[in-house]
Parts: sequence; structure tokens; C-alpha cells
Amino acid sequence: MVSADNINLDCLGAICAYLSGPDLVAVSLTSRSFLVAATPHLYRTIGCNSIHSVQYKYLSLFETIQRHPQLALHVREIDLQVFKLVGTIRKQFLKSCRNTIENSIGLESFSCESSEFLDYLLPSLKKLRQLRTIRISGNLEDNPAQHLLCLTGLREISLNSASWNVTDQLPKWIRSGNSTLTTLCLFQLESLNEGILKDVLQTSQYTPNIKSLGLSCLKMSSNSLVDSNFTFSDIQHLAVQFWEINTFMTENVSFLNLLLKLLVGSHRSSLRTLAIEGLSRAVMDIDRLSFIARDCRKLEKLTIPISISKRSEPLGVALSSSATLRTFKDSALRNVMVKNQEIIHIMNTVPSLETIEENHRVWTRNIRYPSSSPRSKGNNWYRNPIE
Amino acid sequence: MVLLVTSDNEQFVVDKDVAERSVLIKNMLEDVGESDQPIPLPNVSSSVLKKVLEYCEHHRGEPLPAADADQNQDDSRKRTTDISEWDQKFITVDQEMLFEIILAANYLDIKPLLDVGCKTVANMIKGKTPEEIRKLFNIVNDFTPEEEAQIKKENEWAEDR
Repeated sequence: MVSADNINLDCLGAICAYLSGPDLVAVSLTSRSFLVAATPHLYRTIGCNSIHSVQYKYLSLFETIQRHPQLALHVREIDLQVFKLVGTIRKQFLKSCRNTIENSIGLESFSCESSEFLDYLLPSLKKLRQLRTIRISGNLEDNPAQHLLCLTGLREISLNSASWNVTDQLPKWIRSGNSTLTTLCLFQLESLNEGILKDVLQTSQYTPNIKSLGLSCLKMSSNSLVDSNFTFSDIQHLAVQFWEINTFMTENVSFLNLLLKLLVGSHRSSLRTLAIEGLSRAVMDIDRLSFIARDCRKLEKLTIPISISKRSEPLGVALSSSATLRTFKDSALRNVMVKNQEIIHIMNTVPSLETIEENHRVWTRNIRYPSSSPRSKGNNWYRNPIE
Repeated sequence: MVLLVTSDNEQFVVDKDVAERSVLIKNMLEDVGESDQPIPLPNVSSSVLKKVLEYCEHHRGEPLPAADADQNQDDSRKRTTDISEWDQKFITVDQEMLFEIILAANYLDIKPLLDVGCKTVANMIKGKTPEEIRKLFNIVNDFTPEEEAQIKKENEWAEDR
């Protein structure tokens, strides 16, 4: 008789692929064959999390892998979030962590939020040929920053508040061996100035596969876009986040305008997601929006600052030029309360739309199981979770 | 039409596009070319194949998952265990049949059916203690108490992930 006890390892492993955390631990403690099936999934993603301040626990994770190096072969993703370590525990932790990284030859993704860890751990990443994703933040010293240049063949580079010496060599890093890049995310880089941003955008000729671009820097200057041969028509996901809004308002607006011009200039636009956040008021006129909806023929999710209230009619008309738009989000920071009828009006005017978000409220049109909900009858199947 | 022969020597005549939901059968048919030769399935019994064919019949014509779909799925960290309404009803069977279907889907290489089976078992496991899992599936604990304690200690880090 076939049962869970004698089902083959392949199938048992396939079951474990749908489990995580405590469920996988429970499976591993069930029997020997279950342990064998659960282990690769248990050690696939490892890391530490700031919420869990119990230091010895993570120390024991990396020391366990150090004791059983074969476990490192299962590791595909390491995610080290910031937490404070001192004294000998810190030393032990970093040592066993580095040892784990060195043995994780299948590692595909490395994330680290702590610069003090990163300084020490970066050199051990160099030999990992499967590494595709790197997400780091913090201030690196000069020497560790140089090690970044050795990381090649990457698909994703995400930098969060990195120091100037990292930002500075970003264009060089991309150009030397990272033509494979599909995702570039530069989040809150204070030292990302006009020159470097321009340089980064120019590198697009070396990165033909780039699909996702996320930008957020202190000052967005339209000069960085002028003469840039960045091919925005191939971008599928674009996110621009502004901050320090008051200081550079006019410059941000001209950057935005130029960017949008470049985006909708091409009818071949492959854009699926466009997100513009961090602006306190609407800076985009309805006409421009209408062009975006019409020209970006694959657009599925649009986030812009627009203040829906009292503009639902022209907004509905503008968005209705899109046949693909599923989610619309108003990211204007100070919004007047939107009325129910206004949301309903937009939903009625834009048939493809499933979700509208504004002021941290989410409105959905339940089209997946229209028959199972009494609200689904007729046109009024909108739901506002806050109500 | 394709002729399939089960382990208990029962014959099933099915439409080609239904049979080809199975990548194994699809590849076999491509290898032998046009032929009336019956395809032997020595690892599948007639009661299980009947059930599997019911699934293939319902999902005929749907696009087959790409060869690299598996990898993409692994990328998203938490794979969903949602199952569609029809599949849910289909997979509501006794435990032996559930595992028979999983084995057959694995052998016949029908990825979506394997996924439905594995998701169902995963949903049964979720939230249970090791002892409850053993009871559920009638599994003998073959660890020594020392081994059990050590594994518990070593995997503790993943408990509250």
C-alpha cells in the first residue's frame, strides 16, 4: 500500500516545497526519510532577522552548517538583517557566517543590511559562480567596496543608502561583467549625483536585458536624462521615489516630466508597472496620464500622485484608454477623502481595473468569484476594507 | 486516439490531446511516431489511471507549463498552496489514492497534477506537530531520542521564521 511512509523522495521533496518555517521543522522531526526530504528546503533560505534578538539562535544556525558542511550545499539565499552583536559572540558569528558563505556554492541571492557584516563578508562572495542577486546597504570601507567589482554575472543589484565609494564605482561595476543585469534598484542614495546617475543610465548599452529600474535619490535632475541613450522602451517595471520633496520640488518636477516624455515617446513601450511616489501633490496633468494609458500598451499597474477627489470623471476617461490596467494607486501624500461614487465611477469607466488604492485604502472589484458573493450581482461589487 | 495499458492489464482508449497532458506519454508518442502500438504504463493501476485521466480530460487544451516554470516558481519565496475549486473537489479522495495520484503524476510527468497533490498534502501538514504528522500518515518514528533532540536543537532557528 502506498502511503506517506514509503512514497519516494522526489514526491516527498515536492510536498516540502510548499512548506516553510515551523511546518518544515515539524516534518524534519517526523522520521528519517522526512528529514532527508525536508532538509534541502529548510536550508534553502537562511538568515537572521532583527526581530529575533536571541543571538545564540543564529549563531547556532551558522555553527550547525559549519559542523555539517554538506548543509551549505542546499543554501540558495542568505538574508542578513541588522542586529547588534558584541564581543566574542560577534566574532564567532561572523566567522561561522563567512565559513557558511564560502561553502554555499549554490548561493544565488545575498542580502545584507549591516555594513559591519558586509565589510567582513564581501570577500567570501567572490568565488560563488551562481550568485545572481545582491541586495546590500550601508557604508563600506574602501577596500571592501573594491570587492564589489569582482561580483559579475549578476541579474539584480539593489543598493540601499550605500556610501559614496559604492555609488561612485557603480557604473564601472555594471560595465565590467554585469551585462546580465535585469534589475537595478538604487534606493535613497544620497551621493547619487547628476553625473553618476547619468553615467548609470548610460550603462544601459552594456545591459541590454534590463527590465526593472528603481530610483530614489536626494535630488533628481533632469540633466541626467538629457542625451541619455537609455532605452526606456524596453523597461517593464519603473519606480521613481522622490524624497526631501520641498527642497528640490521644481527640479523633481522637471525630471519627472522629462522622464515621462521619454517613456511615452515610444509606442513600443513594454512598461507593465510605473510607480511614482513621494510627491506631496499632483504634478501630472490628466492629458499626460491619458497618453501614458494609451501608449503603454502593456501597463498593468500605475502609481502616480493625482488626488482623485473631484477629478474622477476626467481620470476615468484618461485611464480608459488602457485595455490592460489592473491596479491604479494614487500616491499623492496629502489627499482629500475620496467618495464611494467616485471610485465606482472610475471602476465603471475602466473595465480592466480590479484595484484602486488611495490614502492607504484598497478598493477591489471582486471578479474572481463573482457568483460566491451576494455583492457580486450587478455592477456594485466594490469592497472597501476600511468601511 | 491512444491506447494505454495499465499494470493490471486494463486498456484505456483516450484522445491524443488528453493523453499528452502527460509529458512522459507525449515524449513516447513523439519517439515512436504514428503507430497503433499500445503504451504500457507498468507503474499505474487502472483505478489510479482512471482518476488521472479525469483530471487530464478536464484540463485538456490548457497550456502546458514551460520547462523552466519550476525554477521560476522556486524563486518566489512563499509558494501559494491555493487550489482551484474543481481541483479541490477532484483531489478530495482517501489518503492512499492521494499518494497514488502523486506517484502517478510524478511518473507520468504531469506537473500541474503533481502540484495539486503536493499542495493538498502540504495543507494537511500545516500547523501540525511531528507527533500529529506521524499519526496522520501512520509513520513510525525511527529516530533515537538523542537524534531527535539534536535535530530539534539544530533546526530551532527556523521555528519562528
